[in-house]
Amino acid sequence: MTGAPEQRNVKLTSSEGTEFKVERDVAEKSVLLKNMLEDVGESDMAIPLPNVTGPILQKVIEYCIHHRDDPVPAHDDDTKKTDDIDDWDAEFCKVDQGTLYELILASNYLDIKPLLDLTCKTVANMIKGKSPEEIRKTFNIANDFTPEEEEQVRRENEWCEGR
Amino acid sequence: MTKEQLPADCLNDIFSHLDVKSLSNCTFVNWLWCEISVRLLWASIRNFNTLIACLPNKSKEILYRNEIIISTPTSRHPLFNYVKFVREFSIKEICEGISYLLKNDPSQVFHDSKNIILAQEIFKMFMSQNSLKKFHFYPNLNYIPDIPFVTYPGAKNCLKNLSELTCGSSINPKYFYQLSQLCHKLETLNVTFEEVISNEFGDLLSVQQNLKHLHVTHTSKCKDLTEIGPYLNRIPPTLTVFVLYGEFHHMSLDFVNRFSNLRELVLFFCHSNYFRNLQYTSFPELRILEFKYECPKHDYLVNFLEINGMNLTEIRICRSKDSLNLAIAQFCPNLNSLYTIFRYGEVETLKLILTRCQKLESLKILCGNYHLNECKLLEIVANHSSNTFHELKVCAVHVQSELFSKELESILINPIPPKLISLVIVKGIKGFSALKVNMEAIETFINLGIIKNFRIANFGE
Repeated sequence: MTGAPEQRNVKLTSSEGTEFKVERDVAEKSVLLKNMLEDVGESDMAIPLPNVTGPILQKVIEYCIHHRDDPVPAHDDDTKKTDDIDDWDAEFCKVDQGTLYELILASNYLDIKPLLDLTCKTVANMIKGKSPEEIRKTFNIANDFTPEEEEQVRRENEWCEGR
Repeated sequence: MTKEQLPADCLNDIFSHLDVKSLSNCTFVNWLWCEISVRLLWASIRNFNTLIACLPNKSKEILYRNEIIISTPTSRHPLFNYVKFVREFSIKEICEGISYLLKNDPSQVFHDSKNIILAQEIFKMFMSQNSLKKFHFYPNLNYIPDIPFVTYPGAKNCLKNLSELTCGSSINPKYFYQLSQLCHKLETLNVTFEEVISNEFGDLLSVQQNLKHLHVTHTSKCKDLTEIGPYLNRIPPTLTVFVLYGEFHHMSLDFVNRFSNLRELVLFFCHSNYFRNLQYTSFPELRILEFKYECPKHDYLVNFLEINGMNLTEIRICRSKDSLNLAIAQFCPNLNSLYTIFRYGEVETLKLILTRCQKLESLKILCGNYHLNECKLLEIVANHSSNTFHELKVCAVHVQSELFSKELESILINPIPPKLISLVIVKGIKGFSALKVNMEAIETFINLGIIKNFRIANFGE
């Protein structure tokens, strides 16, 4: 296999068949694509991404372009805490819930750790400070516990005081 | 249902960003959320009664035969086998848990046979079912039970992937011997050097293949320091973070020279001569340098910064006799974060640092008394910092008078460019400082667009 670092553009095809052209360093923010490009070498073929729709791919590319010069975190402990989401990232995540979920799935599939962290943090922030009932409302979840089960969950997971 | 559902595959990733309180609320949402959140919630033992309910029948029979009766959360079988979720485990916690269950004094726990039987059964359950990541043998515990858990069935599997160990050097050498047979993958070791340091402890150090973080606390009980040297020389060179809390002894740091992969160096010393043997060493990977107490001798540190300053992204100096700020401005252009002390006359040096360190994002400065005035500080930061700068922390631990009360008018004569800085005032330990902040001055700076937001933080945050 001959690597071709000089190749400039990479073509990606979304699930509906829309083609996107991105520069290689932008595409390589995705570990999945980075590995593929390293394996395939120089090629004009578009890479099909059947799990990602066009609008979502567009968003993902927008994120990767903005963060193209970010250093790759070399150490696991470099990941930041939940509250530090910078303004651009916060603005980027102001989308409807469906889009946010799809972004999570896409970043998981494409293996873009910082985007996965960002989108998961954003959802985590929606959970924080809410009661179980408020959480169900926010995320449209039905309660499938019987009252007895709910009581058992409560008792078994109670923080024991004597410690 | 028409609305989109949160992807179940990613719930674990999402929940990993939650605090314990929120996780606890997630357990009541529905079964799926419950299953995923309890795993994270139980990374450390959450409820000892639940743990007892998880004991295998054989253990329950042993407890029953010995008349050890403990209530369980419900009469039903536990919803999950919670034991398997536990990743972090400490002897102290087990002692306290047992004393809670059997209602006696923690210090007396292992003088009672019932307690020992209960502890044995808990250890057996963990060794046979679990794979632990963190294990704490607390130092200075005189009531560690003599339970040979390392020889229990399953101990090998339970402990072989241990990544973090906390211990004192005085614990029974046989534990160190057994652990050195099983645990070769430690990444973090927190050790307190006490009266005794055994050979077996040295064995445990030298079998490590991937040790990254080493935190050494060196107590005054540990008198003869010449004995420590050989053990420290057995630390593998994979180390990236080294933290040394020393007490009042003189200690040679020669062994640190071997840690060529060091990324973070944190030293806590009470005298300033200790750095002599490190001053000319190059650490190509070093990014973070911190002196918790006394700074090394000025000349040593200047030599060190001349060699290593270029790579540093973070410096924290909590106390120093002579100012190092000029050396920082000269040798450390790539800093993101700086905690230092500015004396009253160092206005020009602060300007120099802000101009030279273009990547500086965060600055924490000790204020009050003989130090730089806080209004002046804010003015200089607003006028001279680069665009990446966004956080100013004012450490007001020793401030007696009101902060931001003086010189406001004289500063506001000259226009200051809007900057949007987050201002944090760090106050002292409770009862130690009667901190007053002139909120009007802060409001003025907010209205001028210099401060974006403002909060008061506790010392140590």
